[in-house]
Amino acid sequence: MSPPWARRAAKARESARKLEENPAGDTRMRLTIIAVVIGALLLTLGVRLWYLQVLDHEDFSARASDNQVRLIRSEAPRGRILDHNGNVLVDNRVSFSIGVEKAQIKSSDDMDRIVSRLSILLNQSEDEIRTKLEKPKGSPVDAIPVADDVSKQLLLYIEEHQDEFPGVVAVTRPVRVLTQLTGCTDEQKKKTLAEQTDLSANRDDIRKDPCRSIAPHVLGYVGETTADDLDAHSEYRIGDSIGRGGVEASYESSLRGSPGLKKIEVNSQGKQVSVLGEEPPQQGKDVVLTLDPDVQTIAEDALREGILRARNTYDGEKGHPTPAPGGAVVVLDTHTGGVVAMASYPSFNPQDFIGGIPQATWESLNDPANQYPLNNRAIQGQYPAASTFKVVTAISALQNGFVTPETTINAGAYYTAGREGRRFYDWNKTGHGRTDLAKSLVESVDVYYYTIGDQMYQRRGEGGDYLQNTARQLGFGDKTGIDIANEKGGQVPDENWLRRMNNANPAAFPRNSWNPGDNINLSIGQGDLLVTPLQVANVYAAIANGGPAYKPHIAQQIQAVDGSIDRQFPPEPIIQLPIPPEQIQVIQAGLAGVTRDGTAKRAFAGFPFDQVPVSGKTGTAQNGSTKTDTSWFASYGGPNNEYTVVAVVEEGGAGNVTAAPIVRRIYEGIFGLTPGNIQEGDRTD
Amino acid sequence: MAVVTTSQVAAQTKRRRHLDWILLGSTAALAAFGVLMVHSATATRLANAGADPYSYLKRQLVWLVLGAIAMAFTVVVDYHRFQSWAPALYIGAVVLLVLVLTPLGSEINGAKGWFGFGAFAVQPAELLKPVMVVVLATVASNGRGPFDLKRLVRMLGLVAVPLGLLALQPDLGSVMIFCFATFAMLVVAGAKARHLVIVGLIGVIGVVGALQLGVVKDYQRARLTSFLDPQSNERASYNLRQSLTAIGNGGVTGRGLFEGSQTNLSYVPEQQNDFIFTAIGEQLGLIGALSVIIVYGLVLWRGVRTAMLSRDFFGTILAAGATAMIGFQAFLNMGVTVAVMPVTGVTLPLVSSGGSSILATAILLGMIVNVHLRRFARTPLSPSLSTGT
Repeated sequence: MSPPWARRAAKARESARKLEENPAGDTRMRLTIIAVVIGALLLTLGVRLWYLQVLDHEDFSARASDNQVRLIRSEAPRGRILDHNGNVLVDNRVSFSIGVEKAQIKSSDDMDRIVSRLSILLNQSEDEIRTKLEKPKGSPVDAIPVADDVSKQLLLYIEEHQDEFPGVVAVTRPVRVLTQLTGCTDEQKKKTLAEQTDLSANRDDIRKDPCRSIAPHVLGYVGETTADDLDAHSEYRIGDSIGRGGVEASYESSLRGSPGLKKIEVNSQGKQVSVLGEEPPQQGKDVVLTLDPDVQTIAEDALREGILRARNTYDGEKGHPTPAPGGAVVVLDTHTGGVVAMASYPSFNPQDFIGGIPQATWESLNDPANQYPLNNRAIQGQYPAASTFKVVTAISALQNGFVTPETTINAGAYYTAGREGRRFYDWNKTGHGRTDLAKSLVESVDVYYYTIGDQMYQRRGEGGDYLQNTARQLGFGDKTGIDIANEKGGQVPDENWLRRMNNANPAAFPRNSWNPGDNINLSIGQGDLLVTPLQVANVYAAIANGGPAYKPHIAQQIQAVDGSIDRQFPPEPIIQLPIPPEQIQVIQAGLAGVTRDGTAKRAFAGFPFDQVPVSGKTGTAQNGSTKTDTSWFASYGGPNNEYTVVAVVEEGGAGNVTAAPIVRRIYEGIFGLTPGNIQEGDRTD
Repeated sequence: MAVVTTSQVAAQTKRRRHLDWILLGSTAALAAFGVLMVHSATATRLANAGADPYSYLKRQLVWLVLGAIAMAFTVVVDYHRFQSWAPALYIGAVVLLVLVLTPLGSEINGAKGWFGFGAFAVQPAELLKPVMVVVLATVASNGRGPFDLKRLVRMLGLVAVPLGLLALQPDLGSVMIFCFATFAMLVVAGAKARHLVIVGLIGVIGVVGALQLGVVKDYQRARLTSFLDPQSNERASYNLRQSLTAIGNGGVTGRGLFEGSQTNLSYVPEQQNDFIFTAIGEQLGLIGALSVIIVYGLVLWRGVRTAMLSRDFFGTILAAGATAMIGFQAFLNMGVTVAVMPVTGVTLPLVSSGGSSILATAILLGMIVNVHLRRFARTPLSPSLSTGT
């Protein structure tokens, strides 16, 4: 063994020899290659940095500030809805929704985890949650609500487990509290009111309560914005509250208020680091209605009871029970056009919509078998006006000189029109004898109006469509413009209309020429005429006023939360009867006779007219050969005729049998009269 | 030995002159910069979280002291003695790699590659780096005649075992670094071009096979390929997007030390560690980032120069291997943050916090300094030699 140093020296010599065997030049070249490769790699980095930091710098720095800054919107409390005395009908309370900010979720795996955790927590299926998250457009930084009006406990759980729920946030939002309840005892009312303001109360329990808010169709309800809403209104975000139907929709812009904005700096976990700016939400404005909750309750009860009573009767003419699927009542303030009450049957429970309507409830509300409870039949229901329209024919005949109040027509059992001698029968098979204008209304003499309708047809070459023109002048065929959403305008048929229909659908409308029969039918409000109860009320208000009628409206004024007035709605005349006052008086006299001695005599038997005068007109609209007639009663009454009340019941039978008693009950209720017995009587027109 | 002789003084002076001061200067610069950046990237975030803003700084300083000691030791011992240590080092490193896969090892970020000792964690994969450079250089330079296929196969065989163990952790970043360094050492050792091509092909087939046969797990594949599509909906893509945003946000001059919303609000993970280059890019901008690259360029230059100047073949390969190891790791780390390389968790040598990495890099740099120091001496200059004379 050689000493260690010798061994080491030998090794060193060996290495030196190897280096010589492997020519230095070749090794240099190989080393250079390695150096160049690594050098090139480092150069690549330099070039890449140039791209990122010089060329795309602005883009990235914008992204960096987007990253750190978040805008948190908080919905403003909606304005309240008050009754005619300024008492609250619809209020707010705070609620908490669970929302998901998709931008905060870093991967699809995280999303899967969050959806499955939420599914358990919120008792919703994963698909349900995913659908909600996928549907909306809108900005990805907005929280998409997945559950509304959740309990405080649930909220605390999510806040305490933020690491398990990144991107899941609590959104504070106001929900509606409905304060005017009906259909239950005072004790139950207290309970329902308390439940509505209790954050831990179960929504389903409130929905099951027998107490319901009054006037659901007038008030409408609040829903969440959909993608369509976002298209229409750029200032809304997904999940915002938006009024649907009724006053909630028609005064959306006043009620809504402006959302609060909070600008915060957040870290990568979405946790707030600092507040950069804050703009508090501005509560929406209050809308004061003309609605009288007492009259509203009276009207709703009278309508419901009238319909239920009708369902207990048998339609002998058509040979089946009276179906009476639905109806409506309008009570206007004759002198202003303000809506005192407006009821529609069947109705719905607005509580169902608070905190998100359950799918099954929504489907049931839209099932045709349930007769569309969401429709406000007072402004959306369109029916032939039947004999309530006779005042329009009368006004047109007076206006155009076809008759004077004194003109009499001998009214037999039928009227014979044209060369073919087609017969138009009166409702009364024995006829009415000599009939003047007042009597034509009291007894609802069809032949009187058939005669006028036919004459108007004969002379239409001179003055055009006399009757249609007057009808339009009195507001038919067009919306009244009431400030409740989704009003319908009805239709006034004429030759042009018939041609259009014939063109569009020749099978249903085989004729394209307007015949005398069309005019004769129209003269008693039959045929293809369609009117809404509100339009009818409007005309009767004009008669009661001796000429003008005022635009029907539900809002009295709009005011700020502090009570300062923002906007007022004074009476605005929209129609004016085109006949002189003395002729109007004749019509008034005729209508006064209807309740006292005429077609509605039995319905108003025993009614204290000396205390509360009521004038009106029955209407019984034929509804084809099998369906029960549509029942109408249009009226005005009160010491100064301050109320105009119209009731309609679909397939409810004769006007005097079903609709008139409903109206009677309403007057009795308003004036605190003892409800009188309503005499069973023969059907009249 | 109280009296210092003139010859000893002369030797000391000579030795000092033979130190590569540019390399040492670059090393010191990177280390100092690392301390600064580790602090700058974490201070605000730690302070916001209510923690000690200096905690990373302190730990980094401790490791750098340990690194300096390790480096000094590596420089002082004649590098030829490493050859005789090679078998023991190799076996030790492989045993550690096996042990780290057992319950003794702990898992961080989905890879089982650490031994935890209180606040400090040791990563055997890092310690393997200098060991493999020594082992491969020893094998490459050991034998008669030109570099032949036998030595090549032996080198590949020796590297295959730890690579397999690394892949099991899985630590794909380290695997890539070892592959590159081994290949570079084969090139420098004089492997024939056709052999290199075959080795390259085997590497490619290996990668494709690993992806196809499911050796690489789905989440790893997603992570690896995320750099191809930073907009995709994967967590790795999210991190990468944030990294790009941070670097782009820096612009030319940067947001300033301790500034930068992306860094301070923790939008980029591991910003003191694998993503420290992101913090550099955001805080110091293009100027800071390019400076770092340039300093690595200097290290590269001095390393390759040392390999060329080495007085023997072992020294050449040793220096080349160490240089390739450091250079490629630096590139891989920075490349990940700017999305030119797949996301793999490797540190930025000397700059990132992370003790094992600092130690490994210090030892690798020490080797280069060592080879440079002894480039002329026909006889080793170790202290043991001086006692022998």
